Amino acid sequence: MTAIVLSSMRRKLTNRSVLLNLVVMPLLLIVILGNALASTFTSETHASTATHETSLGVVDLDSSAGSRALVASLAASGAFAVHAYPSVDTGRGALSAGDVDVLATVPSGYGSDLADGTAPTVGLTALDSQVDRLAAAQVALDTVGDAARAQAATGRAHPPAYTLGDYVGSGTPTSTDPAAGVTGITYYTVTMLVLILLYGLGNTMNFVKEEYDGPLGDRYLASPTGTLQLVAAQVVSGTLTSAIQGGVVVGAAVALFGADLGHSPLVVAAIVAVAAVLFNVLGLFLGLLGRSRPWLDPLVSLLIPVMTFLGGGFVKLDTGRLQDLTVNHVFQSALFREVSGIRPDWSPLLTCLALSGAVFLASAVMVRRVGVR
Amino acid sequence: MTMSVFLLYARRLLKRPFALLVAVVMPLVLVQGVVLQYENATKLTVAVSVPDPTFARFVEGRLDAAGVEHTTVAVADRSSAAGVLVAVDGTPAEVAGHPDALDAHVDQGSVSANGVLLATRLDSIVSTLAYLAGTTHTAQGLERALDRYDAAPAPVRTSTQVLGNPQRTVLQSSFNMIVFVMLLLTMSNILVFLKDKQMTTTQRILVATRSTLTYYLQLVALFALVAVAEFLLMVAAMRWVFHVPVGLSPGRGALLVLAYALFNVVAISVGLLLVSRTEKESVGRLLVTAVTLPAAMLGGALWPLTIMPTWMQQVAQVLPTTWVTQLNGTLFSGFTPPTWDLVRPLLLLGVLAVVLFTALSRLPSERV
Repeated sequence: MTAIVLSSMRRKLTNRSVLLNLVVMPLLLIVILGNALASTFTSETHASTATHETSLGVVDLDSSAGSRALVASLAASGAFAVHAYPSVDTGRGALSAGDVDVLATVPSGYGSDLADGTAPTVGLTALDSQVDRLAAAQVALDTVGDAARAQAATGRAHPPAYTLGDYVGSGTPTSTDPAAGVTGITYYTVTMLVLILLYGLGNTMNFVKEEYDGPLGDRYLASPTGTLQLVAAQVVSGTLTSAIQGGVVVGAAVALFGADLGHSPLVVAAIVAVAAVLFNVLGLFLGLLGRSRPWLDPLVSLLIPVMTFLGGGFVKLDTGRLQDLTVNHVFQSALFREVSGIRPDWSPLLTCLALSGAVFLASAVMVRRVGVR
Repeated sequence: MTMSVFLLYARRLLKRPFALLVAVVMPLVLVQGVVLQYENATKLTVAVSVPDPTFARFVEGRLDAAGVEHTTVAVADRSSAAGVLVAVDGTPAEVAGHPDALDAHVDQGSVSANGVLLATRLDSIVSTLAYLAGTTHTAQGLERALDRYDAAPAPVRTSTQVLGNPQRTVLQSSFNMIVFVMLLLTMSNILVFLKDKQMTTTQRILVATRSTLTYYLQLVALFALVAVAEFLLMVAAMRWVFHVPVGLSPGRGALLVLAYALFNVVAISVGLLLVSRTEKESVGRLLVTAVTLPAAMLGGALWPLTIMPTWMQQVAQVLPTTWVTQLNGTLFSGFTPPTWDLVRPLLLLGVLAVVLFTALSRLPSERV
């Protein structure tokens, strides 16, 4: 068996296209992701591709103590990066140029209206490309009236000063969304790692088809090696290949872009190993099956990116039940739990191992039939 | 004879129920992801976990007033809530006069700019609860203070104005995602040709055609037709199944269909050129993947181009995916675009298609 594993590995590692697949593809994906999303990969930002601070242009047409207090409170909120503009025209110019996300116009007479108890209206404007930010900014701006309203609600002539608390915690990972709060590069390292491992399924499928289509397959089957050993050797060589690819992805992401994959490399390695074994066993099975079912290959080629897409691998999407149907979700979720420090849930991984065992035995039976034919 | 390749492959496609099923089902499955992208971009939702009914009424009343959707989450389920969560423990009797007894926290979930803005509002709502608790001494007093707060008019109002098309962001990101989906579906079709090449079917078909160019023209026309049908199916599903207001004028709609058709012609042609480089399915898949994913990532199909570094944005300008995603931005913008912004991507796609066809027609027949 060792001889077959070594022979397979040698043939893979000396094949230029396979070697490209092993090293260049994972590196390409990580380097593109790392550079493309570099602006969102600071230590404080997270998997969302949006930055976390809204750039707010302010045109203060009143310049009263009240309006200045409003602008100061917005700047102090931590949600806005405030930029002052002298006129509506310059403010709109900044909006059109993309210098600010939202423009707030404080109307003339704001201070006196506030003092009179006549609610002034602050106008918020945004381009159509920032419509969601505009809605959220309007919600956040509602806070400016809270202090006065709360002080009035005390019913006292001299109410105590109103202070904002600090109840906000950033991105608490939960068992349902263990990816919440992980950095962008970590998020994409995990999803790309699973994608690359999943591509191992397709690679093994093709490798097996090519091995058993030619005279090499005949020689294997004519050799005294048992079918179980023969099948195990394919799985071991495929798993080793996947492990090398996984190592390239993780190594590049950690070394070049500071991805954080948690504190237990052993747990990460165990999850990667289970994924690699499952995908390679499935690849072996489908490769044997695909010899008489040519439609399997394009289907698998399509399903790999589709499952990654639905599993939130390319864009962080919660596709609900569809996500649960993807095999990516099982391993992404396990890795995100580890990254976020949530206790590992081994049951889905053990199920995957059991499934691998069953498919492995089925493959052995199929190889024996191939031999008989 | 003139359309023999087109008809042959069309018949093969129709005769294979499985291929036909994939061609119909996959776009419908994937369009759900596109619609989710649309919904995620428009909804402001907060999970509320406040067991005390007085406090719950107050928090939810504030969110209703702000037009924020909210879901109720039980204390036991807080750890499984996703997104922005506000949790408040304590009763008016416990916290009146003792604001420190108010156990509250706001979780931002996966941090985004909108999440931060929502969390700012929730922080203020909880701060108001704590403030009023500190200024009262009894549960009844706190409840009255909360009622007075509710009854008091907001001292400052806000109004909003959108310059352009209010639906632009969501429609643009949804259609950019369709570019990615179309690329996936098209490139997967390409792998079918490898099998034909291995079985020498292609060579036999080539013998019967007038020229390599004729062969490719018919082949690409068929798969572009399938891709346009899939595109229209996805748009129809968005419009009539998921009720997404696409809101394009017939002229702009036709322009979009033309752009996606040209984009598919380009994608198929690139795929056929890749297929000509190899006879092995494993290498074919590798080449297709190596082109598809970077083209989608760099071309603005998965995230806005503007968040990438300048040098990457410049590299992206040569990608056909970028031309289509930029056209999406132009078409869904509420502003009247310069004609050149509409013509340029179509022109580029057309020129590239001609270049690719020229390259395909010069391929030696054994590599077709």
